[in-house]
Formats: sequence, C-alpha cells, structure tokens
Amino acid sequence: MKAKSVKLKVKNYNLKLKTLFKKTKSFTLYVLVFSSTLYTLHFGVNPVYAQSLSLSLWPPLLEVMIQPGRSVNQVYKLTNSSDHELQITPHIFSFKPQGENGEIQISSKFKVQSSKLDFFSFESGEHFDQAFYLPIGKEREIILEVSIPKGSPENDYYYTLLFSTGSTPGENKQTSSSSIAQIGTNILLTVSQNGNPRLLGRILEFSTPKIIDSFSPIAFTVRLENWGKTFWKPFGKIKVTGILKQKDEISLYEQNILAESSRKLDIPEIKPKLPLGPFKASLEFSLGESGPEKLSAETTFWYLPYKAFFALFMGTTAILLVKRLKKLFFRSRVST
Amino acid sequence: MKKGFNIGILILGFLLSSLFLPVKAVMKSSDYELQMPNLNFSAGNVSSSEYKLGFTGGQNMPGPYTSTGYWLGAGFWYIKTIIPFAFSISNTVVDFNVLSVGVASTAATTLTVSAGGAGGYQVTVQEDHELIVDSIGALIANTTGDNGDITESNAGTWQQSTTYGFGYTMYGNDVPTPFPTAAPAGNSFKQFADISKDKTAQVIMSRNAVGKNRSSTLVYKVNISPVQVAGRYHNVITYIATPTF
Repeated sequence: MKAKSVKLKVKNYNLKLKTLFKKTKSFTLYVLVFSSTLYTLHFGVNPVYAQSLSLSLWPPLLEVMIQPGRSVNQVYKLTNSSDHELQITPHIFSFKPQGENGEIQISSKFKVQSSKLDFFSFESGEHFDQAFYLPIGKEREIILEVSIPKGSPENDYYYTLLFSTGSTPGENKQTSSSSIAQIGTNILLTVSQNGNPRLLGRILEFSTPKIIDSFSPIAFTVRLENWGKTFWKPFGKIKVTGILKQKDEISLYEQNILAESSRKLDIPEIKPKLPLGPFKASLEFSLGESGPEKLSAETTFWYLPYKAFFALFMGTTAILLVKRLKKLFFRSRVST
Repeated sequence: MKKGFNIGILILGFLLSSLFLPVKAVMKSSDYELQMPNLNFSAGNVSSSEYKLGFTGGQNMPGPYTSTGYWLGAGFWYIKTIIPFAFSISNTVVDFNVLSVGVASTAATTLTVSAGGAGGYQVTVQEDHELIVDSIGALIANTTGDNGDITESNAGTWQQSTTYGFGYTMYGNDVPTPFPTAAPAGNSFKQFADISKDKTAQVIMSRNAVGKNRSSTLVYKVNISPVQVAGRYHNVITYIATPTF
C-alpha cells in the first residue's frame, strides 16, 4: 500500500513538474518574443545599407561636327552593375574646361532646362529630367539625337550628358546622409556649314630641364592654347637629336584643345639610346589631322651622368678616407 | 691607392655601360594601347548606314562633309581601351547612429572609378544642404575646424572634441592634397560644397591618365555641441564622375 501511495505521489509530482515546465517554457517564449519586439520597435537595430551604386557608360566622349539643319544619332550604353534596381534620370549640362588637364566644370547654373533643349532628344523613349528604371545587371541602349536647328550660329558647344541615380532615404530615427551617383559623358559639338572651320592655336610652352641626368627620361612640358572658336587636336611629333647622332621621336597624343582654353599635353617619356651630350628637341604639329598650318618650337638641353659622377666621387672619397685612416691607425700602433 | 683607383674605374665603367642600355618609351600597358591615327579600332551599333551610329573609332565619315552634313567620332580614337568608364559607390546611405555630445561619429564610403576610353577622369562632390531636420529646420552646420579655416576648398585640422559640425576626410588613389594616398585618413577635413549656398562642387578624385579600379575612401564625421537640438538630421551627398575630354 505504502509503495503504491509513494508511486502515486511521484506521478503527481511529475505531472506538476511537467505542467510547470510547459507553463515556464511558454512564459519564457512569450518573454523572448515580447522583449525582442520591444527592442526592435523602441531601440531599433541599426539598419545595414549594404546597397551599392555602380554604373558604367560608353562612349565617354562624343565629337560631332555638324551643319545647321542636320541631325545625327549616337547610341550610348548604360549598365547597372549595382546590387539593386536603379532609378535613373538623364540630365544635360553645358560645361567649361577647368584647369589644363582636360577636366570639366559643371554646376547647376549650367544645367540645360528641358524646355530649352534645342539640340538634344532621345529616340529610345527616355526624357530629360524624367526617371526610368534600370534592372540589376542590365545594359540599356540609349539613342541620343543631336539635331541642330537651321540658322544656329556656327560655334562650338560643349555638353555633359549625366545619368543620375535617385536618393535612398535614411532610417527614420537616425541622422544620416544619402548618396547619389552621377556618371557623365562629354559631347563636343562644332556647328559648321562647310566643315572646315578656322583653327587657331599657339604654343604657350615647350620646355624641358636644361640638364638631365643620363639615368632619367626626358620630361617635356607642352602647353598649347586654342584662341579660336573651334576645338582641335595636335597632330605631330617631338623630334630629339643629339650631337652624337642620336635620334628619337615622340608622337603627340591627340588630346582635344577646346576653344578659348589651354591644355597641358600628356607627353610619353622617352630616353635616348646614348644619353650623353647636348641635345635639340623640336616640336612640330598641325591643328587637326589635315590642318595646313603647322606650329613649331625648339628647345635645347644637356644629358650628363651627374648622379653617376657624384656617386663615383663619393665612393672614391670614402675609399681614400678609409685608406688614410688605416695608415694613421698602423702608424700610431708602430709608434706605441 | 692603386686599388682604390681600380675600384673607381670599375664603378665608372659599370655606370657608363648601364647608360647605354636601350630604354623605350612605354606606349603599351594592360590598360591601353596606343594606336596609329588612322586605325579604326572599333565597331558599333549602326542602326542606319547614314545616321544611327554606335560608338565609333576614328574618323568614321561615310562621305564628304558637305553631302553628309556631319562628322562624328566617339571616344579617344588614339587609345584602344579595354576598360569602360565606370563609377561605383559602396553604400547608398550612411548612418551616424545616435549622436552624443562631444563624441564624433564617423562613417565611410568607398568610391571606385575605371576610366578607359576617357583617358582620365574626375569625381566631384556636393551636398544639397547642411544636415537638417526638415520638420523644424534645425541644422548641424558644416565644420570650420579647430582653427576656423575649413571650407569646401580648403582642408584644415579637426581633432578637438569641442569642435562641432559636419565634414569629411579621405584617403586612397587620386585624392587631392593634403589627403593621404593610403589608410589611415589623417586629421585634415573639408566641408561638402553646399549647392543651396551656390558653392561649386569640389574635385575629390582626379587622374589625367587611363586607370582601372582607382579607389578611395571618404570618411564622414559629425560632432554635436551640448546645445544641439534633438532630431533626425539628413542631407544628400552627390558624387559626379565625369571623363576628361
């Protein structure tokens, strides 16, 4: 009997424990869910904005010479390499050259209002200042029509076609900054009736250091100015000749020199095969590929191995000094 | 003495012989290749033989100018590029968490540019306005730095916890001076150009040559004073990547 009653007690105890455990478990679950909800609602988990913005565009430069009353189309390829779909808005700005390295300056002041867009329109359905969507990893072909109204003045016009992403709002309770990415492509437009506008330029600087070490390449500085109304490219060479019959040539990069601006050309470095003695360098180029007028300038310089001579002098002095010290040391030992 | 002289002769001989090793100008790399002027290197999307051209290389003129009425070229036709013009920003929003008085909060954005056919590039930055709580108009002003000399075009020191405001510093490829070319960012800061105040966007990366995956990091910093009004401040930073011409 006693044993039976003990068993019953144990069973009841087990049941109570199980019920308590179940209750405790559900209570814990409630507490967990409630607290996490409270935490999320009131304290907030810092949102992670791992979204990136990535765009690529081709071509980066368009050069057009066109008669008034004509039009021409150009296909641009815009690719969304971001990790999400992008809202893209095309804008067009006029620009002016900034500095002498081919950089541009655009600002909101230069934005061409869509109502005044005489020259540009899209043939592929887009509209200036109106957004379109570009899915992840997709490339979109955008056809820009350049159309010059009859009677437009013969001149150069410089524009940047900009594609802008939309901004993402930050988390409501946090101080934040949103980012917008804009990628541009430049348009150099020359309106000309006969296709042969007058090109005007001058050489502002053609120089090199007067003495160049024989271990160093020649660093030419070439600065050109366009004082006309039409952009051009220099087509030509720098010829380097030395007194010991050394001969070398550097072809100029055909970089655009915009109207009423100057540009420092990027010149490839070169080192003569025998970099010793006096040299003469002559710069000669035409304005444009078939430009009849040629501009030229000359400069002279010396190639000397002065660093090598200096190293040799220092080395010999050091050896002589060591020898002398050795002698003095032996003499003092003999005398003692 | 004779031994020293001999060594001197040897060094001189070595130096002179190294002078005459042939060295040519570098005209080719993995990023670009120089082309002769008349090489037409590219193909394009020719929608119509007369008017709809894709990207072209060289003087792709189908006839005399007077009959066609246009001449069109796209890209730097003296450089055959294998890199498109591409620009990326690592995050669309930077959060500064809950701001505490005198404790600067920082956040970073990485910018990457590949300029192929462009020949070179620049990236400029501007803000739509200072950090603002739209509903009440409270501002966190752009910082003027420890010495009051920071502007959008002039970098200055910002180290003290009692200097307040909003600004940025940078490090990486092609950043302007005085920002370092490698991490960590220093203590030199600038303001973002505020276009609501007619400020001009400032260049934060530039390069006058072809480049692939040129990368820099822009570090935002915000520090508030004890009298700063509580609220959610926000502004929009615009990064503009353009190729050189």
